Order: sequence, then C-alpha cells, then structure tokens
Amino acid sequence: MVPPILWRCLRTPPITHPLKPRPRLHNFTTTPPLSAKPLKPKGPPPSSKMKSGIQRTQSNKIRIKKEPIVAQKPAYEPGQRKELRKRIVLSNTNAIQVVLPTMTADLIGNEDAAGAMFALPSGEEDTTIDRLRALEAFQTKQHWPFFHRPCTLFRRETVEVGRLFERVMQRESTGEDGWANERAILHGYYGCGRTILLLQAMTWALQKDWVVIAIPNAQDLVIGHTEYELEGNSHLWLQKAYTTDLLNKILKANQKTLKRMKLSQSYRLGRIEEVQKGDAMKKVLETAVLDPLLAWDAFNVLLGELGLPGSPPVLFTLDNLNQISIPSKYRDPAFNVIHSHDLALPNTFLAYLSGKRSFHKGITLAATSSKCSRTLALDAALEGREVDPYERLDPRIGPSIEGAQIIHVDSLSKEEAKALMDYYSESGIMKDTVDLTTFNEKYAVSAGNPRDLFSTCLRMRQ
Amino acid sequence: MNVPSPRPLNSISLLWDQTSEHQTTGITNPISSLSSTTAVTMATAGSFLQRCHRALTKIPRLTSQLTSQPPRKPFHPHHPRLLTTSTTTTTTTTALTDLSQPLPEVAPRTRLTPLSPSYYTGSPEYYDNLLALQDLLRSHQALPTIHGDDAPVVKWKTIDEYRLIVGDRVKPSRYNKVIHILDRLNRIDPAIMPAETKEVLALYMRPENQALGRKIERTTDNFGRAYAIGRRKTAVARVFLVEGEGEALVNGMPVNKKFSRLHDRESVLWPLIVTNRVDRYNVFAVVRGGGLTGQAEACTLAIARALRIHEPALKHALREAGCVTVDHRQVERKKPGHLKARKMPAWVKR
Repeated sequence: MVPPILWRCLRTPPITHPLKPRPRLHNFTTTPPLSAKPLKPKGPPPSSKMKSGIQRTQSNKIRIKKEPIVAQKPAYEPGQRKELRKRIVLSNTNAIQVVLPTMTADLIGNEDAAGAMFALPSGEEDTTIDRLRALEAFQTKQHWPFFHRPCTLFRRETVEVGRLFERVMQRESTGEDGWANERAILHGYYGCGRTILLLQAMTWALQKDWVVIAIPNAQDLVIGHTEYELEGNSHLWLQKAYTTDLLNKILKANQKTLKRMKLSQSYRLGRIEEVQKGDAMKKVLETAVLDPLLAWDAFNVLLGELGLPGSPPVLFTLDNLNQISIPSKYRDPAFNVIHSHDLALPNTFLAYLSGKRSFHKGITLAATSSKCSRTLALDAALEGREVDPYERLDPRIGPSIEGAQIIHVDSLSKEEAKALMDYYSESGIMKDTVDLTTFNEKYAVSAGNPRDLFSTCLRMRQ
Repeated sequence: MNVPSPRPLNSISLLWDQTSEHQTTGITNPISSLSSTTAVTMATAGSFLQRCHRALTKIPRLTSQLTSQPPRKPFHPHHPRLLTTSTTTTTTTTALTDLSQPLPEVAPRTRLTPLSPSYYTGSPEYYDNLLALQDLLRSHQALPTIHGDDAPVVKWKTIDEYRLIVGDRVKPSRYNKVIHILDRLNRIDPAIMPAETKEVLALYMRPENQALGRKIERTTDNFGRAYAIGRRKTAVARVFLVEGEGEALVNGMPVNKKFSRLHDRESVLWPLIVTNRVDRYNVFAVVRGGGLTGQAEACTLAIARALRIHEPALKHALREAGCVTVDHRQVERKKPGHLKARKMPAWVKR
C-alpha cells in the first residue's frame, strides 16, 4: 500500500499563503500558539515613577466613565400599537355571567321582544360571532370588554330592521320571481346605536345563510390610505388592495353559502385567469384573494351572480355613510380632488342604495355617522327638505340615496333603558341599585341615549 | 321705639367713689324719665340695657336721688365678670338697705376701681354690649333652633344705628359679631322663644317699612307654569317648570343635544335630581349668552327657583345642594398696564 503522502512531499518546503497570517512560532514552546493569550498593551512608560493613583489626583482632566451605548429595544414592535388599538375583546371572565335568551332568527320582526336583552348566538359549533368578527361588525368603544359575553338590546328600531328582512323573506317564500330589494338608512343622533343595529342585522343574515357584504367603515375608503387607480371604461377609481381585503372578509364570513353558489357562466378575471361555468363562487374568491389584480373583477362577478335569479339573498351594509358624502382625499393626475362617488366601491354601494342596481333578493343598509365634518347636502337629503337653489350643495348627494327608507334611530324608551340598566347591574359594572330614583336620574341625565346611559351608569359621582 | 342713647356715659364709665355724686347728677334725669315712661313690658329690656351699660345702672344706686326706686333685678346669674371689689358691693348694699340714712363713713379708698370690666378694652360700651349678648346667648344655648331659612325675616339695625345705641365708634367687623349673635338668637324656635330674648331682639330691629319691604309672592300661572330666571357668568336662563313626566327642553332641544358634556347635563337637572323630582316636572328653558357651562349653571339656578315656586318647602334641600346661592362671579376685567386681569409684563432690566 502506498502511503498517500509521499516521502518526497515531506521534503518539499511548506506552501505559504501570502494573505493568510501565520502564527509566529517560537523556537521552543510548549504552549500552542493560538491558545496563548494576546500580549497585554504596555503599561505606563518606566520613566514615570509616580504611581497611577497619585497621577490621577494631580491631573486636571475630568474623568467620566463612558457607559456603552446600548441600542434601546423599542417599546412596541411596528404595527403592534395599531393592533392593540384595533383589538376587539368580546368577553371578560371577571364579569358576572347573565343568563339571557339567544338572538335567533325567529325574532325577526317580533314586536313583543322589543325592550329585552338578547345574547348573540354562541356555542360549540356556532361560529356566528367569529364570522361577525371577520366582517368587523364589532367596533372598539362599544363596551364589549365589560361583559361576560356579547349581548345586545332588542329595540323598536331592531323591529323595523326586522321588517326589512320579513319583506324580503315573504317574497322568497311565496315563490314570486320578482325582485325583492329593500334599501334603508339608519339615521340618528350620536351614540344612538346605529352600528349595533347593523350588527344585529348581520347576525340575523348570517343565521339565515345570507351572503353578507360589509364595509365596516367608509372612512377607510376616502382618506387616501389605500392605493387607487383609474379604470378606463367606467372612469371610476378602483381600490384594489381594499377590495382584496373586502373579499377576504366576505370569504371568511360566508364560507358555506359561497360554496353552494355555482357560477352561471364563465368569466375572465384580470387578463389571463378564467373561471368556468359551474365553479363554486368560493373558488373564485379564493383565487382573487391571492392576487389584488383580480379582486375588482371577482367582486363584480360576485355582485353580478347575486343579481341573478336563484342566488342567495344578500345583506350589503356600509357604516359611516357621511364619509362618502364629502370630497375624498384622493387626487387625480391633474391634482383635482376626486369626488367620493367616483371611487368604485362607494359608487357601487350607492348604486345599490339608490336602486340603480339591485340584487335578486337583498337588503342594502347604510348607517350615518356623527363623527364626521358637516355634510349639509346629505342632511338635507335625509330630512327630505327642499334645497334652496342659492345653497351651494353637492348635487350628486341627493340622488345617491334617493328612495331609500330612512329609519330614525331614536333615544331609548324607558322600558329599553330599564332593561339595559338591569343588565349592567346584573353584570356587576353598575354599583348603584336600580331603583326608581336612580333610574329616573340616569335616564334624565342621559336623555335616553344609550352611549350616555352607559357612562352615567358606570360613573361614580363625587 | 324709644331707644335711650347712652352717649353721655362716656365720661363716667369710671366710677369715682368720692366724687361721683356731683358728676352723675347730669345724667340721672334721662334714666329716670326712661324708667317712668316705658311700659311694663319694657322692664326686661330695661334690665338688659342695665346689664349692657353697667356704668349706667350702677351709678344711680349710689346717688341719693334714686334711692326711692325699687331695687332692680340683680345681675344675671351666669355673669361671671364682676370686677368690682367686694368692698364696693358692700357699700352699694348698705346704701340700698339703709335708704334714708346717710352713707356710713368709710375710709377713703386708696385705689380707683373701674366699674365696667371692659374699661381697659378701649371701647367699653361695645364690649359690655357684646358680653351681655353673649351671656344671653349662652343662657339660651340649649334651646331648640330652627333652620335659618325658616326663621322670621328680620332686618337688623344698620351699623350707623347701632353706633347710636352703643355710643361709640364701632368697626364693621365688631358690628358683624353682634349681628352674628343676633341671627343665632333669632333662630331659636319661635314657639319657645323667651320673652326676654324677644324684647332684646326688638331693640336691635329696624322698624319695618311696609312700602319698601313688600315682597312679591311668586306663584304658578293659570297654566300651572312656574317661571324663573337664573344667571351665571354672562348666561341668562329663563325657565318654565310644569308638572309632567320628566322631559327637559333647552332652547327647544333635548338636553343631550344642547349639552354634549355629561357634567353640564347633570348641572342642568341637578335641582330636580337632588330633590328626586326628575320624573315629576317638565322643563322648558331658554338660555341666552355665555358659554355652555354658564348656560348649564344658569339653568340650574332658574330651575331651582322655579321649583321653589311649586314647592317652597324644598328650600333647605336646594340650599344644601348649592342651588339657592347665586354665584355672582364674573370675568375680571383687564387693566391697563397688565397683560390680562392680573398678569404683569415680564420685568426687563432696561
């Protein structure tokens, strides 16, 4: 066997790498060269005979021990604060549990139930709350974290919303082939419970296996936070990123219904993608969610299919209608302000609200908002009053809500306020006992406004 | 009422044992005339005056002119301040017992003794008066009192008139002390008020002028509305209060639309809340001027006043809640040389 290293090789001089530093080898040492400690820097020169301590006291220099600069860890990760701000907590295990009946779809339009509290449906298999959460039907500052589980008050206005459902369902059951469309706007003073009414409507719709399409806050559409582009044919500005989000919400909330929905014809999404006739609508949306370029087309496919006979009923809601009645923050290439109605999504919603487009069976429900700058044109349109020709109001606002039923959301009646206060008291957040004196006082101070009623009940008087 | 003016007493508040006779002759006449002319009911008031001005009552006892008078009521038993020495009292008693006999010969006194314990205070008349009132109050301390709002409305003598009684210059703060005691005496339950106190109080009352002091009695109108005005800062609230179900309209709006702040709304309805009348009255208010807080608190005052027209008995409760007293504070004006009302420009060296 020939050794791999030949004797000749041992005799050849070692190859030295020109760039590689080589450890300096002493002639004789037992310490391995790399494990030896590096040489200490030289101390004071041997000429100075003074001790270092004495030297320090005599020097005029101020010696400040510099602390090493440590990179501070940020208090919050990027996006963490927004997540905290937007987090919705729906239960509080510290709160006392209150036994309440569930808000089922049987209660639609039931006048006798008005003035009682109902719990939102929750259970092992019931995913309604999760789906509502996906639709962003719950908002922050609605005091959900104070209670053991989400419960809502059944009000007179809830009965009126239920009437819309009743009318649509009546047509459905009689088998008429006619179109059943209801359009309504919830309008009232601040804190009167419009968003909660939307929540109640969505709860019913989800229980009834309707398709629920919800724009939770119209402000997101107009404040210029999402990207936008002009679509040549319709001269509308598309917001594809937002539409993708919206489709995602629709998909999460309506899985079962969308699975059952079959396409009536083939469609082309974007430039290349195609969906065939007979495909499930769920598949279309799942494709579109992955690619924002397909989102708008997919959304149109969904709306188009929902307008055909045989499609499931739809609930299309938009909160904060006022926000799309004022000029948007978007600009066109000529730096002109884009009118909110020229944005594709608000335009589509208003088309349904004003009856220009319609579902086969469905409800279009909008809620106004108080946290908005003045919208004189919308106010005039909601009141239905004649506009003074010298008043320069936006002429596009009035027709956009034409024909929609206006549901006035009023203050709570005494019975409703009593039910709410009892619920607060039983949940353990209200310390006073609910007797006639306390009730009268709190009802008078809040003037029956639900938001104020909560704060008066919670507040301790000094 | 004939109130004696004891001003000339200034000169004789110090009793000179030996020389008192010819000094006091000048003032005995008004005293005797007073005692003879006043009615029998004035006897107690007279004794009070007697206590107020000890110098006034003491001196005549030593004089031979008044020896025929019946002995007056002795000093108040609660009165602890008899500064006169025992020798003086013995001389007075002997003088009173042996009416017809000449004064016994006593060794001439070596030390002069002031008769009034307040002699060295600087204004003995005022302090005698105050001490006497305090004694009276002390003796009636345990009597049941009523609330100040229920006490009979009395107008006390003004400071100038009081100065005439005391016969000395009285500072306003000292006058206020007296008025404070009188107010307290006036709050004694009228059913058991001692006659003596009544008469003492009558001494300090101002005669009532019917034409001036006429108070307009406010009532509800024929629709059952009570109308009242309240002011706060620069806001003026006019309120109509009717019996109803607890609706409140301010400038035609429900309270939650007019006042978005919860605290303001509570202020508006405060008189009704504290008296537990929220669901019994309807409020219709018109508020003008000022800001929201001023308007809310003007409403408070007006509603409280209107409520008192409906139910006058609620006055205490409303006073306790602070709805009766007017807050008359206004914004302080800006002054020339100041940046604001009080703020001065910063000091600059030059």
